[in-house]
Formats: sequence, C-alpha cells, structure tokens
Amino acid sequence: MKDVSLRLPAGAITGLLGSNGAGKSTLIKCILGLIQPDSGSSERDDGNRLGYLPELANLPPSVSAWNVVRLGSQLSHAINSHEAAALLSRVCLDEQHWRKPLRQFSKGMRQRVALAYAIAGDPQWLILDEPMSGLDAMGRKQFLDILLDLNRQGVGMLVCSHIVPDLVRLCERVLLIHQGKIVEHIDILEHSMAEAETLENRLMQIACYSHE
Amino acid sequence: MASTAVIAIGAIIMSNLFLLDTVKVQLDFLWLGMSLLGIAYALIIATGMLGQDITQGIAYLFLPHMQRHAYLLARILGIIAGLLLLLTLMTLVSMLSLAWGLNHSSAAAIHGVTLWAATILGSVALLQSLTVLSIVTFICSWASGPIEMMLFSSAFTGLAYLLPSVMQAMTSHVVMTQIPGWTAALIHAVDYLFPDMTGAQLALSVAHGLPLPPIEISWFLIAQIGYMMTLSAIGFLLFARRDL
Repeated sequence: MKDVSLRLPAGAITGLLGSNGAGKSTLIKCILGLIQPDSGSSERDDGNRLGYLPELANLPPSVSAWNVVRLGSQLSHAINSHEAAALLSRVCLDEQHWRKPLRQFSKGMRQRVALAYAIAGDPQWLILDEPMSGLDAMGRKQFLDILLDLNRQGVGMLVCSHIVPDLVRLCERVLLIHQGKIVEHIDILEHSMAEAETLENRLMQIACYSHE
Repeated sequence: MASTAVIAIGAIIMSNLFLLDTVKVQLDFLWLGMSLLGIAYALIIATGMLGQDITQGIAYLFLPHMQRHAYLLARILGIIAGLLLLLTLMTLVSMLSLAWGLNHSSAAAIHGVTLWAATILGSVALLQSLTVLSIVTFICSWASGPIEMMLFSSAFTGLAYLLPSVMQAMTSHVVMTQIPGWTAALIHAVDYLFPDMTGAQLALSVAHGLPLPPIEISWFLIAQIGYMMTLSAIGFLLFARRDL
C-alpha cells in the first residue's frame, strides 16, 4: 500500500473495488490491525464496535451454527442468547440447521453463519472481505438484502469485492484500488438508478483498465 | 487416554522381561512414555492449533473482539489445560502400574522406590512439556505456515536434546584452552540459547531410588521456568507485531 488515505463516513456503505492482488484485503487488514503498516495508522471513534467477515471464514467444522453465534455474543457481551437466536433467523438460516455441525453446511450457509457471528457483537461498523464470493445468484441476492437491511438500521460498512454489480447495488461510493493505491473515488449516489448499468460498465472499464 | 494405558501396561510387560531391577525398568519405561507423550502433545497439538488459527483465519474470529496477547494467552492456557489433564491421567495410571510392580517385586528390586516416584516423574515431564510449549509459542509467533511451524519447533526441540552432549565436549577444558576467547564466548552463548533438558537426569535418580539434591532440583526448576518465561515473552512480543 502506498499513500492511501481515506475516511469512512458513519452509517454509509463504502465499496473497495480492485482486481486480484490490488491490495483490497491488505487495506482491510491494515484497518483492522491484522497487518502492521510500515508507516501511517488507522483510527476509529472511541467505542465504535466492529464486526469483520473475512474472505476465508474458516469456522470450526465440528461446531454448530448456534454455538458459533453464542461464542460471538459471549465474546462481545453485546447481546444475550435469545438475541443470538434471532441473529440466525435474521441471516435466513432455517431453525432445523442451527444445531448441525458446520461441516454439513453449504458454502452459502457457512457464509451466513459467519455473517451472524460478525454481527453478534452488535457492531456499528462491518468490514466485509469478498462477502459474496462463491455464492449462487439466489444466495447473493439474499446476502445483499441482509446487508442492506443492516445498513438501514445504521450499520456502516466497508465492502471489498471484485464483483462490480454487487458493489453498485450495495454501496454509496466505491473506491477503486490498483497496485496498492486508491486511484479513483466514485460516488454511486450521484447517479440515478437509470444510470446504474452505465456506471457498472464504467466501473468494469476502470477495473479492466487497471488490471491491464 | 488409550496411550496412557498402553504405556502403563507396556511398562509392566517390559519390566517382567528382566529378572532383576524390575521396578527401575518399569519406572524408566514410564518416564519415557510420560516424556514422549507430553512432548508430542506440545509439539503436535499446539503447533497444529496455532498453525490452523494463524494460517486458516480462525484467529480472525477472535481478534476483532480482543487484544492479540489476550487471544494468544487464552489459546496457550487452553493447551496447557489439556496437557495438565493428559499428564495427570498418565501419572495416575503410572501410579497404578507402579503399585502393581511394587506388589510383585522383591524388596531387593524395589530399592526404596515409592508410589510418589510416578508423581515426581509426572511433574518433571510436565515441566519439560511446558518448555517445549514455550518453544512452540516462540516459533509460531513468527513462522508462516503449519509445516514451517512444525519443522522449526521439532528441530529446536531436537537440538535442545542433542546439543548438551556436543556442548559438553566443546566446552571441555582442553578445547577451551586451545581456542580464542571470542570463540569460547560464542560457544557458551550457543549453549544458553537452548533449554536445560536435564530432566532425564532427575528421572534417573528417581528410578534408582537415589536422593534428589535440593540444589539440583532448585536449579532445574529455575532454569526451566526462567527459560520458558523468557521464550514465551519473546513469542508474545513477536506475535503482537506479526502480520496475520
């Protein structure tokens, strides 16, 4: 990463778009403190609770969805067991699956459990690294709906993805990242819904151009 | 759990292959079993868990909610709890095995050995395993993958066992008088890099019913605890700064 400077407005959804190896995950890890930058720092307002959905959400396979979310609520002390159960419903996981070990779950179901874990701490901010990769069309739509619902309740998000249509539907602004630098800020809200496809094409062009 | 029973039964079978000193043989075998079990647990289970946590992103589940040192400490304490459980069980099973041996041996073969010998051996094995765990903590705090962690931890532990005999020869008076001062200092420095694994000497005394000199025990305890605390502290400092 070089000369990266950004401020994330509270309650907004900001997207990070870039090709593979552009530095999206590295930037997210720097923000989370998982990678120590050579110089510079990331700061967040005092008391801001943070939820993180990593790209590789390797939840322990022998543990049930119920126990994963309960662990999240115990670690964060933000919610109780009843609210933890409500979280699993909120991420559209049928009750019949709650007590099953995660090894029996599909990729999409595991991703929902990981999201439930991330929001178990009742976060004000969610950082999502490729949250919809590997999901089918239905799974992506459900996931998008859940995220938009969370945002309506005031949860701000930083979403890293290389899937342009998902970012267009989800984000208020998108930061294009290339070779460790933020090369363009695109304000999605400035465009009307009718222009969404055009914007999507533009983002695609930039992404392709950057990739080259 | 099954391995503790196998070791205890194996000690009885092995000791019965001998006509004399059956209790000594039994204790030697039990010590070997305890020692290997504790070290294997520390090396395989701890390296596997920490390796998985770091390389497969399991640590990401915990780190947004807690400080790195708290996370690593909790992980290490969990591993120590498992180790304590395993070695306590091994000690109890060893006591049963030893009780059988003492009841079926002549007074001459017992050599003043009591049931407490198994407890002392269990404690020494625990200390050694904790030292190996500190080595694993140190290696896992900077190594990048499970294979690298396992390889370096095993090599470090292996060297700690093999080096004393080599160092004894290298630091002999004959050698020291023939080499420059800085080389001698370097050799001594290398010696201090590795933990004191002379627990086997104490175990030998226990097995032979010999009195344990308090100074030797105190030195062993200080060296072992001091080494593991220092190495663990370095491991925690490195882990706080590593990229995840």
